[in-house]
Amino acid sequence: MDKEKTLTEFQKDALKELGNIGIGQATTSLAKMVNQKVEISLPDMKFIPLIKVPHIIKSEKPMIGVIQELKGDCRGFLLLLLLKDSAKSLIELVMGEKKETDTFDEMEQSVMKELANIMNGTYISALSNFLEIEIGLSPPLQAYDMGDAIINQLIGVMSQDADDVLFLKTEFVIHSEKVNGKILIFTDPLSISKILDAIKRIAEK
Amino acid sequence: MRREITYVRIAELAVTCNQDVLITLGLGSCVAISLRDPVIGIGALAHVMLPSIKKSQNKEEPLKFADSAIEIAVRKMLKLGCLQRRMEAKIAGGACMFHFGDKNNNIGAQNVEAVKKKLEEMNIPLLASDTGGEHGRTVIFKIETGVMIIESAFLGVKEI
Repeated sequence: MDKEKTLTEFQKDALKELGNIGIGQATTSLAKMVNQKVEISLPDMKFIPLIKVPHIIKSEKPMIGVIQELKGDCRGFLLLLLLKDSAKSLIELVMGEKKETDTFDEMEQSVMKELANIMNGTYISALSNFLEIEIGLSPPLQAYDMGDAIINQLIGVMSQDADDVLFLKTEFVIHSEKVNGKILIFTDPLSISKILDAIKRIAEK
Repeated sequence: MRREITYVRIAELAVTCNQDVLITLGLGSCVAISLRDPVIGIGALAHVMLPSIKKSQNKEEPLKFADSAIEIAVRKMLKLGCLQRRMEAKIAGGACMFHFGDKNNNIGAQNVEAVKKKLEEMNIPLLASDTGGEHGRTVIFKIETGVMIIESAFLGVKEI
């Protein structure tokens, strides 16, 4: 039943490497903003039907999700996902104070959006510079809700235009502050061929 | 009889009998549709993500779509001895958690509308619903009583 979509080994490696470049830059920008060492996991990449995504990321707990839509030559979404405590610690690193509340006030929300915007922006400009294609980002939107519902909403929106997704998941950790988050990238199949063409152009140069 | 709990994920459908509990975790824009024949105690829960199979190029997964999933659920229930005139429905979900600002992004509202339209077309009464808004929902459907319990992260628990 689980049909894994096919990419050649070369294409997989190239896309993974691209993800690595982007995520490396994004976490470096995060490290600078919070002045802490940020460690990242190896990106986990899958080319799968959209409806299989919830099998990979599951969380009934409330999470804070900041989402940005990819524009231009690449279509898809970037999603930063954190549990409440991680998000609160991250905000504390920026603001210098921690609010022990169950929700996120306007200030905290705008800090989260700004952090995501800078990380995602760095990620995307690394990719577009490397690939020499134009990728833009929508302004960040945010939700604090069941993790599963955030994913459900996102794939619901994406499924209007695509059946499959190139899905890249990377986890980042700031050990000293017990911050643990995920960066998820959802790219639609049409964009993948554009990215692969760009890689080919570069390889042939 | 043993009580079974079945989790219904996106583009899945469960049809089963009395005692059993059907659960769908974390609905965003998707809609959970419960159907039930109270006389023989058989019920179904479908978890759909898109309004209509008619508008889609890929028709491989009919359980993704509101219209085709309802048809399949009804067909399966009929096979088990249910009568369509006795069937009743409840629905939940169809939220819009992110407002992207462009055209067709309130997919949740479109899903709800498509579900309602299909139920009406098939003459299945919609007894209750909890849809829309900007929050996620977990749905627990008890076939025995027909009660649908809706949990949310911050807005408490609701029974319909």
